[in-house]
Amino acid sequence: MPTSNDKVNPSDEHQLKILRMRAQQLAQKAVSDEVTSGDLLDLLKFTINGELYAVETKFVREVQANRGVTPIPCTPSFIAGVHTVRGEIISVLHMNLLFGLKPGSSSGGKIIIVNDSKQKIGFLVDEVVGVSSLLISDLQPPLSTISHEQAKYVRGIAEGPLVLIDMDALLNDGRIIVEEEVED
Amino acid sequence: MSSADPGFLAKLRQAFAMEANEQLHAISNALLELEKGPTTQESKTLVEVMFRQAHNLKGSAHAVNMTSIEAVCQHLEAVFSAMKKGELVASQQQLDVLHSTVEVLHGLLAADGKITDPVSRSIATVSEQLAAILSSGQGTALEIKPETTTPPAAAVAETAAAIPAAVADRHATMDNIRIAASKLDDLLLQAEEMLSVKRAAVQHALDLSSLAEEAQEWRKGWQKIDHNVRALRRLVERHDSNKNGGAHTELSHALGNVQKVLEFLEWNGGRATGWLSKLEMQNRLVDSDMRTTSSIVDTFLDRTKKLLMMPCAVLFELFPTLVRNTSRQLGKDVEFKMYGTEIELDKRILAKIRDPLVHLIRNSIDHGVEDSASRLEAGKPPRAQVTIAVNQVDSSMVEIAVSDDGRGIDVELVKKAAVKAGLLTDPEAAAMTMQQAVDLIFQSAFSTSPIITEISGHGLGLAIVKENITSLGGKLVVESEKGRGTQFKMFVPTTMATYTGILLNVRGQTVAIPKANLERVVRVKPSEVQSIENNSAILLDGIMVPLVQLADLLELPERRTEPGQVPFYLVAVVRVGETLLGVIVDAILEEQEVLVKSFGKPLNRVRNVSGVTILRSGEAVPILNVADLIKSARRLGSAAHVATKMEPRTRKRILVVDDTLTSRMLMKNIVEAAGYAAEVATDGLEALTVLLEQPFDLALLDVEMPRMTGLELTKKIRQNQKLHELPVIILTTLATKEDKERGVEAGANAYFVKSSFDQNSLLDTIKRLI
Repeated sequence: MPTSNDKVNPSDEHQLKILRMRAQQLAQKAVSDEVTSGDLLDLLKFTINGELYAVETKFVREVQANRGVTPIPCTPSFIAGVHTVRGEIISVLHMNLLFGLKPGSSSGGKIIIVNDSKQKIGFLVDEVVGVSSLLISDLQPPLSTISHEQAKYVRGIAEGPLVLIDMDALLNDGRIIVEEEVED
Repeated sequence: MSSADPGFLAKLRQAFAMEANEQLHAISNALLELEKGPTTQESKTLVEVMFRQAHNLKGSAHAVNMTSIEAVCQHLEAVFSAMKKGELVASQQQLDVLHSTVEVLHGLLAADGKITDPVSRSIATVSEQLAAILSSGQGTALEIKPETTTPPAAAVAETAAAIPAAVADRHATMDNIRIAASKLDDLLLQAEEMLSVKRAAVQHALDLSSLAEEAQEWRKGWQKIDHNVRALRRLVERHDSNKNGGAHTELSHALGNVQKVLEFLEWNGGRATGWLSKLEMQNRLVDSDMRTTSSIVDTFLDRTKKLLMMPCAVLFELFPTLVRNTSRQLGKDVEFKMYGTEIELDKRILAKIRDPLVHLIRNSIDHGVEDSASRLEAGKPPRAQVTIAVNQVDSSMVEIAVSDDGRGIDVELVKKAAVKAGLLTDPEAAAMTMQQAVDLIFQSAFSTSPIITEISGHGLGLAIVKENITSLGGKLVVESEKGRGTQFKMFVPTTMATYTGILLNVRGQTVAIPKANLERVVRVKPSEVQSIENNSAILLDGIMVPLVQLADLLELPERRTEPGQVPFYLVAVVRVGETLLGVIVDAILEEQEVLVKSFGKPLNRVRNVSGVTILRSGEAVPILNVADLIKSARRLGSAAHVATKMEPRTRKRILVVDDTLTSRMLMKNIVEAAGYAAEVATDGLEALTVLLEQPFDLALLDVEMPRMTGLELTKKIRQNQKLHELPVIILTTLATKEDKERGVEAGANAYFVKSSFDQNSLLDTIKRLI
């Protein structure tokens, strides 16, 4: 195992990363003591409006083809509607609108269903690119130019460029909760 | 599995929470019993129970690392221990402290052991109070001791006797197992999903049976012509054998062909008859399979639903503490009784009647019953009675009655107040029956009026309680006798039922409304639409029914091109109680049995939509909340004006510019609810681009925005030849006079401060400007 003190040029470093990930995949649990799970993030990568995003796989329950999301009247525009998965009703959100980005020409071909202990929510994305691992140390802070509103949901950016979404922050943000009465 | 595994810890905590809730309830109940002045022996047993529960709770809290709960339990246990040793007999005030300690523990449990500021303060308070009790106990122990006449040895013997009983109890429940409610919910979900399998099976069987019927037609046709074919073939055969080798080769060639055709026809007839028999056989099999499947699915669903049935006691065990705390708070002496708590209800129904029942019980104590002095004056026993009684009406319905023996509802005063509030005319009030007058308290405009609160004897929100019960498919009625008391009767279904829904189409979207809410469907010519004070209405059987576009109520996006003149409007007339509303729809599709599913998080409550149902086709369809629609129509008012002549109606367009999502959404909702079309932009620069590209009637601007502020944008608008007349309203958090002046200087038509603005005056200003 190379140590971080080794002098490596960027492409070496990239190769090392790949090798380490392969080793991780091959060895599975046998080496999990050597590379502590904290070093690596398992990511699901996807695109919205041609930009690359990722969420940690630990939040992802499943990915579904978008067979049609039923729009629900009188909901904020970031709510795309509801989707049924084996009899269960799941709210589907437009991630880009939640980020304060423009609607753009997202095809919304896939729905990524994420959950934590409290809720299960779907997000419309264009394409799922695949699964990969990322060293936490390779994660950089979000660009200082993005708005505060967006930065709240961004855990960091990585090579690609890839924006890692802070799903914890997103799921626990009170602003995604819709609770509206018709006043008298 | 190590204890550091977060999944394991979560499961452990879940189990802990379940157990802890039971332990806290046991302590609560024992405390309540203790207040009733039990015999010495009884109170020994009670204290023993409380001590053990507190001790166990402390232990489990430690195991799951909930130190806050553990710490509070430590104090609690010490107090119970002192009581157990006879060093302390708790006074009423001290019992209050113990009650509030249990409340604090409940709070901690609900917060998953997380300590927020108010919680930590209340922990500190109860801990101090408990410590105070302990030190007082030690001081007064000698005075109190004489009251405990049982010799210590006997006490020990009784305690020992009590323990085997508890153990025996536990044995008796060996047949019962604990299952997390969420697992049952999952099971029910699957069972409900079987309903669509059943619906599909029914549909397929029907399709097959109509195919078999069509095939029968063929068989009849074939049977009629079958012998002709055979006769013809024989004829041809004969002719063929007679003329064999003859000169008419052309004819015999043709006859040969005819013969082949006839042979094939006959063969076909035979094959098709065979297939037909098989089809009929399959049809019978599928039909019988369908019946079996249907009945199994129905039974399965029914039994699964029964799994979710829980005795009312599960919910009602909260109430003695609630009554006790409320009545002590209000200085009233109330005796509370519960009947029929063993009757079972779907836990989802139980969850939904919790708040309404709490509301009714609080109301009874607060407004229904008098204090002891007034009761004595009225010649009643000083102690008031509040009762909650559950009765099974039939297998699908229960009645829950909340009664008090208080002052009752004074109908004359209620009527007078209704007249005063403009809800009734004098002659109408005079013509009212007793019951009609009492029912006035459910009117939302009415029950929220403060005058009525005092005299009706019942407070705010009865309209909401009634609405909640109605939405469950139940009803709420009230009976009252002046001076004798009031009784609220709630009728609720025992399980979440399916009901018939009507599917409608509006602007391409399918929605469902409960059939129970649909009064009728009518066609109305545009010329028949009347305009009253700018609101549209139609005359139905002599009643003016307000008319709105359903699409407007549902805030659906406008069509790119509105259709031109339509010969008539299709109007669904919906009803809630006595209120009627006509909504214009594009099509009425069909009736279907619907099973209401609520949205999960994050859609906790959506305006105008109560839930979703899944159609036979698998499509999810929103179910409209008709009570909400009626309210929305009232809010829309003249903005929902329906064209009497089909002039192309264009909604005024407003651009909302704000860099924060919340404000943007809020403003968009406000103006859209008032009937305007709204677009949004996230900063001044984007807004300017949008304004130059598309026509708008007004702009609502925030001041502080990146790239271009609202003031800069206003100046740009005023300088732009195309835009300079556009009305601009500035909305801001900046509240000083200078800020306001700067806004006006920049050229804004109006200026509102976000923190203090009144929605109506904003809408009035918009109306004035465009």
